[in-house]
Amino acid sequence: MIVYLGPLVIGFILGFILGTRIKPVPESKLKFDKEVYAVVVIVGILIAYWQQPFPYYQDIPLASGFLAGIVGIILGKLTFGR
Amino acid sequence: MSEGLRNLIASISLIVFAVTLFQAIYGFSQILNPGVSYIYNWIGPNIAPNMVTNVVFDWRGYDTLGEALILVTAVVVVLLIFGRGKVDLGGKDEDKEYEEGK
Amino acid sequence: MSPILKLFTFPISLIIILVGINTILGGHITPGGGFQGGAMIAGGIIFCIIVYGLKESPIKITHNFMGAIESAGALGYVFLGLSGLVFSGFFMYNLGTNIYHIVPPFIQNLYNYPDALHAGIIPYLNFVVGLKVLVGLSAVVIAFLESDKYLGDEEQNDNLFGEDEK
Repeated sequence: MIVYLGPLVIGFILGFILGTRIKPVPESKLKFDKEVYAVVVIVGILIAYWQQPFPYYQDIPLASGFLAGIVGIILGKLTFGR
Repeated sequence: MSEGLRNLIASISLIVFAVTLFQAIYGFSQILNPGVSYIYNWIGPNIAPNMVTNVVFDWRGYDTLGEALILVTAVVVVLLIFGRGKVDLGGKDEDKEYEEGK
Repeated sequence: MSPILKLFTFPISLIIILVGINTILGGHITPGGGFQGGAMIAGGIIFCIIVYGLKESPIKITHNFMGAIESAGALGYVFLGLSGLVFSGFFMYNLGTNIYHIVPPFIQNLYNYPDALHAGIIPYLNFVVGLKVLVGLSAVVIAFLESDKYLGDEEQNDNLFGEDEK
């Protein structure tokens, strides 16, 4: 079976660019810990399953651009968002 | 001008424009000519299934470059006007002098 | 803003950004594309900035970032067009699907988008237009929100030309 590289690479680059901008604010009372990102990952996988893949794509039954976006945002925050 | 004269001129111009526009649309389907759309419909689905994206980005990509340039110009002008805050240009503050001289 | 808004705005804005990314990727198959997907991502960012305010918002965009991304988007479009001029004789020739068979197959395989449908350089054009639109729309809202930053410096601005020292 064939894996199409195009949506994976461009979705990852877009998510990475936007993920480097999520920075924690030290002196405020709002705290966004790891539980928020776990909820976003679970809801994101469910939405990627219910939005079936684009027409004419036959590799996996999920929307592959969505998953690449989620991975990109989380990696961007872990790398540059100190 | 008085009220009645303006109403009369407005109604006459409305009737003239309405008659002109409806006369252009009446019998429209006999003057439609397909022309070049036969070629577009024959080559287009070989490139991409979405015909709108084909026309906007492939056959008219130069116009989309102009539209992107409009977006850049609008953002630059807004940031020039609203980005500076208050600037002191010198001169006299007339409200303060009136209040101090009172 | 009420505590209910502050509780769920950040996860929802991340989901809006993800749906916007999905719209940009399917520009040559489904309705949508570069302009529409970029506006959706900008909507997600603006939602987060308005609810939390400029100082405490988790998604922070500085002026240098906005300048760099917008320049990258505009220049990317022009260079894709110039590469069409260099390899064949036409500006913005679609080097992926070679409908006139001018370009050798080595360059055609280089510029093709690896996909089920061979659409050429159209998805790359959607990507750069999406970058430019999302930064442009966010910059206007951020400029309006920080326009009263200088109002507290009135005492500093009154003595700007040294008038009180005579």
